[in-house]
Amino acid sequence: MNARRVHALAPLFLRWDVLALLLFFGGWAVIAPLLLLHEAGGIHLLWQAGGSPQVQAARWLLIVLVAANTGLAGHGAMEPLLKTPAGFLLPGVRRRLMTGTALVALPLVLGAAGLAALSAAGTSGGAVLFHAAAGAGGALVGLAVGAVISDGAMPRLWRWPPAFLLIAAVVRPGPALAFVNASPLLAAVLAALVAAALLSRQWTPATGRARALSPAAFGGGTIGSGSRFVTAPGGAGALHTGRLLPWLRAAAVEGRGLPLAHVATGVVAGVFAYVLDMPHMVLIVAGSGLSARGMQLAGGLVYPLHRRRRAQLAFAGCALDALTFCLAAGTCAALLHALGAPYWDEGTSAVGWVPSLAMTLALAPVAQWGAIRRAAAGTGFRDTSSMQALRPMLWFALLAVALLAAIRFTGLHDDGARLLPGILLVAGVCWSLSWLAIRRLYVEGDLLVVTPSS
Amino acid sequence: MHGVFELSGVVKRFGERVGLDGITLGADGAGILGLVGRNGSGKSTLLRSVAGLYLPDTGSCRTFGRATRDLGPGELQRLGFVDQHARLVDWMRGAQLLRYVSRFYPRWDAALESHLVAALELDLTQRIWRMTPGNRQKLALVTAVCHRPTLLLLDEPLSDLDPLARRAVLELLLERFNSDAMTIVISSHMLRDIEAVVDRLVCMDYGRVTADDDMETLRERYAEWLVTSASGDLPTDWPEDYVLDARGAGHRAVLQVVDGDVAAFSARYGATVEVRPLNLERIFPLLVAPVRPAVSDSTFRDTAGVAEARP
Repeated sequence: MNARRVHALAPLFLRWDVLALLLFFGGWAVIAPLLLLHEAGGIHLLWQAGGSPQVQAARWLLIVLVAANTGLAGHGAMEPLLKTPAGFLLPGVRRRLMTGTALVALPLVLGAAGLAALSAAGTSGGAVLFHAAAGAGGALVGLAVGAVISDGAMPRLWRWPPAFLLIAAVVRPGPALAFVNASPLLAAVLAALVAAALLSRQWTPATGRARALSPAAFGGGTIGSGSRFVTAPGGAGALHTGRLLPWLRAAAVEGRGLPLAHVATGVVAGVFAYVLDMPHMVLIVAGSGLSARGMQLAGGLVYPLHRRRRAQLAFAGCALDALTFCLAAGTCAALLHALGAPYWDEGTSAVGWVPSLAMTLALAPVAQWGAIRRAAAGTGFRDTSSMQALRPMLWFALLAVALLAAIRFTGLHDDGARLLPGILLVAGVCWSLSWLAIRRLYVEGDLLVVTPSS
Repeated sequence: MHGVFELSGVVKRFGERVGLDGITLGADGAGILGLVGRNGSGKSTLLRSVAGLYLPDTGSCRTFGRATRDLGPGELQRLGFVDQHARLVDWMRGAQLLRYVSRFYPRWDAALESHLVAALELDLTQRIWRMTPGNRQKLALVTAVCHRPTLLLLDEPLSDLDPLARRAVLELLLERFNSDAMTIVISSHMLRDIEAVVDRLVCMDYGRVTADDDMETLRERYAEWLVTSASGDLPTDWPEDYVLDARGAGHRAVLQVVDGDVAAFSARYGATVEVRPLNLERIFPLLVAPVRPAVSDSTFRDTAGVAEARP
């Protein structure tokens, strides 16, 4: 691997969606050592050595799921090249893309190994080493599963079983955890073998040819692209009155049933946060989920709408997206709690849910700026809007870390009297700034890609 | 005051780069205006400004008598626009997109839609992301025309089309023009194709208008002279005020001239002159600026004496 190859790969990763996900993982890297977990005996650091089965399961789930998300993002980054008609036939492309995967995997695997070793600190040197190997194996298998399930060209037999195994590990982590604890080295070897099998199947020429002809698994035209979603309101000219509600529906149509996608993301966030008993997970998942796409008019059409109305539409779309996400996450967690879902023997606590959801709603506009900017300024590959979306998302990552730290370490969420005005203040500032920014963008800005082609 | 659109001293910058440099241009009533220029000359920026997608940094830009930043549903429903890089809603099928866009316009003409789809041989069952660039361009054209706009802005609508499809599109445009008497602004590098349909030509370079005239006048003003000396060699120092280019030596020369007076020339040089008309492809190099002007340069060289310098 030389510098030229790395340089050639760089543009694949300079995309707003990949950057958003990488930021998400970067945020994780920053806050992972600070993560706390509620247990029967009190609050503990997640990566502290030892811990209850709940704590141990949470560690492994985090490693595998973050790796799976990385695999998904990595494959998404390569897709523009892989989907070009003869992209897979370019000289050396297979080797370069495998190098790219290795580049993404290396820091992730090293990080996972380090964290796993940290959790075994204080035991014998051999056990620390074996746990580190198991951590690396967990990251590898997670990465491979994420990459494979997001690849529409892979045969179903290679996609669905790994996906089901991943779901099973989240829903019932006990058996896998017992196996890892009993034989960490064997678990690491098995995980590496499974990962190698999955990734090598993904890079065969046959899969490459199939990929050039297949739609993307996510976002390329298969999910929700059926005609059932094309239910633009009324008949010809139904939108010409310029009223807000029909245009919101039109934005939902363009987004291919986006509310449904936000419900799904909210449910995943709710389950994940409930399972790990970390309500602030919802806030972090929202940073990634809401910044990716929004209920916006994003087609390159001349919409017969006044710029002011488009600003109102963008703002309303943001509010609906955030509400949908939070309602789904909160309802899901509340249902699990009410049903007494026996995930952990001790049951999970409800502490922190209300402030976390409220904070998610309050901070949503910061995360949504990427989606708004993208809708207004186009979706060019490495376009200026990607870079413009990056800055607010960086702020969001910093803000989220600061708020998490503040809420956790000051015990703010235990003091309802101080919490409510605090959240209201944050919400007021964020939503007001969001409205001003959206209005400025639509009323005074250009509505197409910023760099003119001619 | 121009009724359809009017730009007055419009400057549009993109960072250090100048997209439009003090453009003053307008259109009244029905007509087909051709917009030509080299890559990066500002054609797309001009069209996007007229459509209200770009807002001017300075100067005023009005469409249908209203400032483009204030265009509302009333004006935008009278506007059709095909962007150079037709960015449609990619996941939709062709038929779904047409159904979706038809909701925007009360005047959507379903019969016209069927006619255009058939004439352009469009497969509406295909998803847009799977369509060839040419078919995407045709689909974008259908979405821009079926609501019978008063002003149709077409940015490179022919660039991805094969010769037969180009001809079909141009015939349909003429059909629409004859039927609806709209104003059509079409930018293109396919000079031979648009020469046959436009009745006014605007040439741009470095964000400025270098020529703005109707096609007939341009054809009359620009010509190629085949000069043959009756006795002896011809001179090599031709008058610079109307001879733009000269080739040949001895007793024969080929000159490209603007606003030349054949009788006076023959009398002065004692030569016979055979006048040949120039087509747009040969006029075009004479219309663009030979050198890049400085950004702050307000005394832009009027290459052919057609357009005045813009402040």
